[in-house]
Amino acid sequence: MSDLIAQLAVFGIVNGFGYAIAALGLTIIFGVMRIVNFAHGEFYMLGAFVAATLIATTGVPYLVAIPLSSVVVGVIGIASERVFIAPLHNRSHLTLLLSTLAISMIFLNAAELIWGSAPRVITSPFEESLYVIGPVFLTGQRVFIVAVGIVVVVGLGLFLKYSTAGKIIRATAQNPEGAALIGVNIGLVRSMTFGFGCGLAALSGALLAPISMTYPVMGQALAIKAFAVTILGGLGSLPGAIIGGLTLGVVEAIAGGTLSTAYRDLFSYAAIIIVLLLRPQGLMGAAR
Amino acid sequence: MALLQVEDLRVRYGEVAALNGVSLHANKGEFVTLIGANGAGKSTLLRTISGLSRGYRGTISYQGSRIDRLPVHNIVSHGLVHVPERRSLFPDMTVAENLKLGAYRLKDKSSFPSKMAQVLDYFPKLEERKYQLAGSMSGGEQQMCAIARGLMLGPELLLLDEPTLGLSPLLVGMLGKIMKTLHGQGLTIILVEQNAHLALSLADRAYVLERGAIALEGTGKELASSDSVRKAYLGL
Repeated sequence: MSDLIAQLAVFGIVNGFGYAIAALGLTIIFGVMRIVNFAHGEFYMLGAFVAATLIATTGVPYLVAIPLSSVVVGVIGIASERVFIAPLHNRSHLTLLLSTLAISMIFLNAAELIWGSAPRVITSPFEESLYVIGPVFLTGQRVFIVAVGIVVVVGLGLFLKYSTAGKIIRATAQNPEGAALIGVNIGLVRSMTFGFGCGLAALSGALLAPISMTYPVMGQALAIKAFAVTILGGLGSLPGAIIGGLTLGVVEAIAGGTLSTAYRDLFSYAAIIIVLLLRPQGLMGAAR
Repeated sequence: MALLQVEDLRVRYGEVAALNGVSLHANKGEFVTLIGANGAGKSTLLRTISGLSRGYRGTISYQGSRIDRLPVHNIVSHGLVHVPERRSLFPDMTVAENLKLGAYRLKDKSSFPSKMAQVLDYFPKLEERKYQLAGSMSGGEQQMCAIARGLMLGPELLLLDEPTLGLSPLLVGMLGKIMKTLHGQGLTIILVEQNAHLALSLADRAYVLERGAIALEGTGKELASSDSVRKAYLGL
């Protein structure tokens, strides 16, 4: 039994890194723009499809397709911000929210038109290797996901803390008017941040695709999980997104594996409800 | 030619008129102050000059060219720096980081260390607080940090909105001296002040703003001796 739990927990951590990467994107967008990106799941889905298409049409290896797909989707994100969000930035939050919902619908239906609704599989070269750590079995792809997750988390932290661009992003999040007054083009920061956040969602999609299926509505479930993770960790908190992602991944893997996979989502939402009841600011959020 | 020329500027917030045709100017090297009651439109005027708010009529020219349709960051990069009333700092960053970001648009990066040294010389308190989070300082210290950050860019025209608000009399005196020094070095300053005594004593020229329009204009001395100003703003 404990061997099973260990195996499930490790699988949960792997998925948790995927959720954390997507949730980091959601969090950074929320921090700078104060909007919840309802299209986040669609950018995750696009990450998987663009990677699949790149591999199928140009024959690039999986390892190249991942970063390439993240960049392509990031650019799509920037364009979406310019067209659907920037013109509305003085409007109410509800208007912006609806606009991101529109982006979600457009990309969801576009994906069905372009790629069809049948699931497809992305094969990763790492799927062939197998690692055994004590009682736990792991394919290379899962180890790869964790490795990329750690690199992204550390890299993002260093970028935001030490680079000039990172400082400008933090400054804009803390005080947009103050940032404008020192000469920051905050419209540009908003676009770039949105694109960056969407790129992170795409990275998550391209990473998780080989251990799940790629189909147009795949992002819907992920989006709800990413929202749940940011609530769990504390809205706007980057460490919260990481810890929230890992927590959600482990809880749903263990609950799904020991009880029933039908209850998988039920348990993750129960965990969120409990956190909201006992600690409404989230695990890492500051009390407001 | 005036460094800054505002002509018939009109601003409204929704249906409420904030400025009803304001015209004023500041010559190069001049110290201009604006006094007026709360809600007279003083802050709105500065916000519209720096691009944070937009007028629906009228023009603003700086160094001979129109700036009233330029985005804020563009106006800043021409050396027009606005230090608004309270809350313009980045609260979760240190004083040093705030000052460093103030020089973000500095064209000559090599002048950064000397700018930093000079600013810390003006505000020695900030030297002590250098590695403290800006949001954790007192209101007065934050005010000084905001002005210091504005100076990091090496502005040509400085718009100061009520910098003495909430400061102790000692700090008000110190700030008055600093503004005088800056003016002496050739900086053009437009100061909005509730403290009319201080404002009129510093000013080359001053304007009285009432209900969104210029009610009086004159040298600091003229206004300080005008009966209506003495009654309404100096409490004499």
